[in-house]
Amino acid sequence: MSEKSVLVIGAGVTGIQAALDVANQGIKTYLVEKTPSVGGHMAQLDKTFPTLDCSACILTPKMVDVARHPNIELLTYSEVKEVSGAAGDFTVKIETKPRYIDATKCTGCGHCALHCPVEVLNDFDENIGVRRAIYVPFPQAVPLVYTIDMDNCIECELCKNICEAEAVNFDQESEEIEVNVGSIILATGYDLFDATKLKNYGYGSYDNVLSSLEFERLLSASGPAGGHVFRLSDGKIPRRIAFLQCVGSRDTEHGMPYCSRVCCMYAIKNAILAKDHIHGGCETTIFYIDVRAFGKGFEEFYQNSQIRFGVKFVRGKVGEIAEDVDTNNLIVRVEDTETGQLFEDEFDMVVLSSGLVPSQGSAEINKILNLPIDQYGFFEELNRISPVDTKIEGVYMAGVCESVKDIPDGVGQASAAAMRASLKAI
Amino acid sequence: MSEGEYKVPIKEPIKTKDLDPDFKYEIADTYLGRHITACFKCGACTGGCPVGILTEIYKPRQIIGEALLGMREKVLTGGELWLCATCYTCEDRCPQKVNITDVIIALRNMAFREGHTPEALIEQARNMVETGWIQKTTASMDKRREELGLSRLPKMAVEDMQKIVKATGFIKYLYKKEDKK
Repeated sequence: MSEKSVLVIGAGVTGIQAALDVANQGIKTYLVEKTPSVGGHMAQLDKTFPTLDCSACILTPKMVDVARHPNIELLTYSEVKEVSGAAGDFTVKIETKPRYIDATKCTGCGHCALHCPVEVLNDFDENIGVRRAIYVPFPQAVPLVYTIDMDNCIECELCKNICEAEAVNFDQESEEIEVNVGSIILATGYDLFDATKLKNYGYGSYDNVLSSLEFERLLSASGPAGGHVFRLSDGKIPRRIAFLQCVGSRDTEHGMPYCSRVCCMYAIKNAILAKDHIHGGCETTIFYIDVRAFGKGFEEFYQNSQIRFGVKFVRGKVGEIAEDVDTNNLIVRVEDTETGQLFEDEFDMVVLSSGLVPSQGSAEINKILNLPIDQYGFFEELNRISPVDTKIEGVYMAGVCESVKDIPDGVGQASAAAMRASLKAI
Repeated sequence: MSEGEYKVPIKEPIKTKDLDPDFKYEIADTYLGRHITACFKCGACTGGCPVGILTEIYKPRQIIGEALLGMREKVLTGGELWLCATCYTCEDRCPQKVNITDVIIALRNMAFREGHTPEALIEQARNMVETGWIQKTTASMDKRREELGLSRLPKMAVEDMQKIVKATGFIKYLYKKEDKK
């Protein structure tokens, strides 16, 4: 056996926590992240439920910790290409994609992005805002190193001329490193359910029908609108917002029979925040099948949202949404199942509370590892009393790649997986 | 608020002794109604129902809900069943894959066997067997067609149809005992 070390794949909040917990025991940790920055989906959120904690405020210290930890080797913009060996002695090949920026020289001043003439949609902002071809996904990115998106770069070399640190290097090539680790932790997270599959809601064709993460980015102070909520069709402030629950969860018709666990709470949170962010007030209505307020403080949060904030709740799954072609307002048709009344209501904006599905990254890593997955694509646990062990010895998992869960559950599981992985690595 | 402005519809409470707990299993035993127990009453079916826009009394969720509760009498004799246009929108929208339209057809079959079909529909079936048309043709209709330069309505295979109706035993549902045939 070589030196003690652990590989963590995926640097969302779960991967970050797992890496910190392993590293704090004096074990060398490699943290691999596919995107240019650590943070994952939690970095996209404005606030977290049910305490309305600022998401960035509780996450960024951990992100910085991970970058500065002496025992953690952070490999962003990198992907695992090959895994061989067995528990206690895995050999892993990791490919680092070229940023075309020398990470040791870049100071993150942002001069290059100011001069870059290419504007493309920012996928970190769920394609609402724009970024340049040379970019950091968000201001608090860790590591704060710019990346050139070669798919969109026109190679005008303005950034190269302007960079005082002389960090831009168009000749950079991808690097492959080989590491030897005792155990592996998977934290590959989730993707949002693709709501375009539900044709009756018109997501993708109506401008004012948003997914929850898009709305989250509108709410976020670091988002494309700086925290001001507006309609994407005409830039007006929405005064009536509807939230539709169970879009792509509890939906056997679209192959998603499971409950995504977080949507009820994040919709309530977003409804409260919308009232908070919109000057002059707005009316928010949540259309739900059941409100599943099962966690710590959830039920109180749900009650408070009605009593203190005046969020309206209507029990009924929306049948269809139609768009008023003149005003771009949305007409929602629903049966209030508590009164049996079928009614139509006009809203300025509709937010679909999409469910969580296993990420593309989980599927990619599983092409290498060949772990047993369940019918939806989540990794299967060894047995019910080993929830972080996969069926391969020495490979552990945490977070949403195992099953849908909220942030505290994911972080808790990360610590558990870290302990199991450390035991195997030592 | 003046008196009478705020009206709460007061309904008779549903009494459990009037319910038939096996009704849903009876429906689930039929091929068409086999998925009824999967319903969690979200209301997506009613929300998209084109008949629901036109009339307040037809709500697929309510029919399925009442059937699950065991309100046999109300479901089979209520008459709402027969308003369904069988467009299958509800089936397309249902998150639980309940084949609502088929369940409605299964319930219609049950209602028909127990003799709860609206008289207008029986009348149509009778016309079909006797003349080959759902609506009875009249002399004035023929005259009007002639004026418009349309051909005469073709003769239908009424005798064959009557043979089928007799052979399958369907005829006994069409005519009550006091009728001659």
